[in-house]
Amino acid sequence: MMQLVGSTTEQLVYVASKDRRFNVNELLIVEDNKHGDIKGEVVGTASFNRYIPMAGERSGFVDKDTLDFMRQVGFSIEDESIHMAKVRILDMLTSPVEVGSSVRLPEFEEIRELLVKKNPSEGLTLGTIMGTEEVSEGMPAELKNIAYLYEKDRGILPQNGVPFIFDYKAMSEYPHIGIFGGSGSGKSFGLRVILEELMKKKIPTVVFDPHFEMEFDDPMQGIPDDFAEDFSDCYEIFTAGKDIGIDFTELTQEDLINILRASGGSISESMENAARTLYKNRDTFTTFRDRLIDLADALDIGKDRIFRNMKDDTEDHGKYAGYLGLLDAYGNAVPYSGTVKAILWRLNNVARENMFRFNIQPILKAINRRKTCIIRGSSLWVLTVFASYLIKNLYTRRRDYRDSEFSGEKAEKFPPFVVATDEAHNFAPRSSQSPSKDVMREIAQEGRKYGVFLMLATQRPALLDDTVTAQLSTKIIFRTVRSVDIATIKEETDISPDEANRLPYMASGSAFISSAITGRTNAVRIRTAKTVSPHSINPFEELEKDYETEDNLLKKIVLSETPVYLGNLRSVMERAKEETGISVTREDILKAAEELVAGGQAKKEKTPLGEMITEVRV
Amino acid sequence: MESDLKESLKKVNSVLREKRDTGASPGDVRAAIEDKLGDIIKKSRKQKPDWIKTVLAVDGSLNSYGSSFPYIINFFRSLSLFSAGNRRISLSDIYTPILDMDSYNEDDDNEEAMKEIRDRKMAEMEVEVAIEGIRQFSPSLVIFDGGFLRYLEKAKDVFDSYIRLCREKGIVSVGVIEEIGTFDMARRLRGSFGFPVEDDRELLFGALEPYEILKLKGNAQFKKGLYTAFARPCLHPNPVAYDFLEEDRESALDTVNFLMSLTPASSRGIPLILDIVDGEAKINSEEVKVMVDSFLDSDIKEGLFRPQRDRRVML
Repeated sequence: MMQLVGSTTEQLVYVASKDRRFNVNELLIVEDNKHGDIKGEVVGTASFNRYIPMAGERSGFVDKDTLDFMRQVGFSIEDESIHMAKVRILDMLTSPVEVGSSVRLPEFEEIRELLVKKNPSEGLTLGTIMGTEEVSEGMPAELKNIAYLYEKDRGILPQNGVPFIFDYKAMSEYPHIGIFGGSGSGKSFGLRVILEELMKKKIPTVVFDPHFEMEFDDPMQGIPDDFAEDFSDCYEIFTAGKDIGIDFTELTQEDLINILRASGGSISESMENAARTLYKNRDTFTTFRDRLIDLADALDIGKDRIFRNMKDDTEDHGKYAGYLGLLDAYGNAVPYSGTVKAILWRLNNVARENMFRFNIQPILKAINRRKTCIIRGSSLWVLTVFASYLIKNLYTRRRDYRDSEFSGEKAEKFPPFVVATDEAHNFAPRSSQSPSKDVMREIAQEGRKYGVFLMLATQRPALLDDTVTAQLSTKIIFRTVRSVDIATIKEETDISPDEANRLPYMASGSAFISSAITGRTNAVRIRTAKTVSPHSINPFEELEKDYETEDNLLKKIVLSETPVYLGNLRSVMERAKEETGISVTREDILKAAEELVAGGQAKKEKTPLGEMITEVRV
Repeated sequence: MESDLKESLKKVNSVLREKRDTGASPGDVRAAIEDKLGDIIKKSRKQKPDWIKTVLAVDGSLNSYGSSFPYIINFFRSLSLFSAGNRRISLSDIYTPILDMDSYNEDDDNEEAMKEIRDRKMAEMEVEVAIEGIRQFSPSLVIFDGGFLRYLEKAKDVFDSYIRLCREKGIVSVGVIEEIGTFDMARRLRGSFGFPVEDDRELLFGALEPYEILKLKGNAQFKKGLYTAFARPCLHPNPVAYDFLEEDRESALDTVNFLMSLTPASSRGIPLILDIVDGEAKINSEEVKVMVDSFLDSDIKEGLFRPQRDRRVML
């Protein structure tokens, strides 16, 4: 039996029970005589046993002998525990709940509306709502077995609770998602689950993948057949500087300045002016770069010497004439070669990554086919430089298309899409500059109008740009330890102080989802991902698996080649190289042979042809 | 603290101090007890007696709310707890003189009369939950919080039927007395020490070692129809008395041994199961207030029942 005890308010009550333990986040129904049935959520729990008090309290603690005798007459002191729950009332009341009211568990249908806003077919199934384990037994079949769970060491577990289904279509009103959590909190896992759901719904998505972990080909081990899914046709991986890049001819002056800034961290005013002056529409990378090189050279030589050289050197006459032309055209606006060289240095940084050799056509094609595009770069720097260009380009396409629908001008059709990234504080940092910050801010504020949405994951919400953070209508919050980050989360979400206190101790894979769409904060166990990241193998296990075996392999090869004369190891070396794929030195073989002898698997003998190793057969 | 108060307290202390210090040594007291009253036995370490399979613990509690007679409501609760399966039987009731004015004469001291009715009711309710417990569970032993004299005086009829029921079923009863109020032993030994010992409690305080039992000789019984044993069941020097019905005398030593095992070493000397019943039966003032607030209209509560002292300004 559960009963309301102590003093109550219209928002907060205490419930006690002698026989039932409470679970945080579970929903209860208070049967109030005056208000009728009231829904409440458990926000804190406690259990205590008056007869096993803490040492030092009141009568001190009951000794074991006494308890033994109590047990001998059939008394169970453990059953004397009292369970308490702090319950937040979810209904709007204007007067306190009646003390003494009885409390019961709800039937599923009573709280369905509160928990399940959309059918699985109309939303993203992200996990199960914590505290709904018991009530979920009365769920209809369509809500069952759609969110298997995962626990480290225990693997895949059956769905235990009411599914949390995110109404993604409501993002048109309440846009953007933030995913916060420290390392090991399950944040990347959560991002993967959302991306899987977006792929299922064929929502075009651009994912920046700084950790090279966003692949969806390898199925999660032990996943039930009815839950597994093949995503291989739903996404494509692109690498900046390898198969995609920046089409120099399509750049605007602004784009160019942005890239130069990104490339060197910042640029001076004179550099910016120089770049604007020197850049011409329809420039290719080569024409632009050559112009810079020539101008720098011309400035270094100076007009007088160019004239002199032209007289002396008829061979390079044309070159010097060109120099003069450059000096006439730009000499006044760009008087110092240093400025030009600084621009060149920045430009070459980007070019060195092969960024100007490709374009974004493959991405456009994939997005138009409603695919997810995984974007990688050889470094975080390359990725941010490219991201700033790509996001802006895609956003402009979408905006132009939408605007054209009203203005009647012709523009190429382009679908709505989602931009997702981990380490989002690098893309839109709070206090420093970043090439992608401006466009991120713009999408945060205006993206909803055009159907462009952000999904930003970071372990440092405190470092994320304020304007961006303020626009995230849905926040998924995993374990967070740093107090500054917790403070930011408190400020930016409606999670209660009780919930904030739990943040540092959340289990991996559990999160609070605070959303303007659902209205209340839900504690959710994120479902198991259907796929795994290709390198989620523990590096230490990898060492043992892949590197220990190499040693063993070498020993096996030596054994199979016995008898081996230590004076002539050439054939063994060649065979080893063939089988291991790496070149093996004479010393490696000798070491393997010595280890075999030491381990008793082989023996060493002196022969007229030198030392010989033979296998010892057991 | 005011200085004359301080002086008075100091004086009380010095009188008692002197009495203790100049009195007989604990050894002398023990010798006199063993000579004239009975044997001091060490609690045996052996296991629970076989005949005790289960126990029923009984207690009651009362509290009241109100201003002055007859605007007083008395709240009663009695509870018996059966050890096997932690099962409980409880009774609750209220009594207010307003609804029972026929029981009062204008000439009598009405407050006194009400107290008498109240105590009777409390004792009866305790025996009733004991009877109901016996009917439902048939325990081997019934443990009351307090001696049997109170039931014999205040609830004679029900207690008699209780005793009959126990006799039929072969159930042993014991009353655990935490505060010994008798003085018969002290009176009998007075003169043995060359100084007066006021009462039994003072006599036994510190005289028994932890876990010792005083088993009185047959001729040393004082309460009619009852047999009483004394013991120091834990580390605390306070002696505890155990009332038995005369007919259960043979089981007394076993029972006291067992009850001492049920008493936590660092407690005040009450078996744990009685402590549990005591805690649960208790009606605290907070509870009374909540009930009064919930069920009395505020004009009735404020106008008739609310104690005047509640309205004083607290400084």
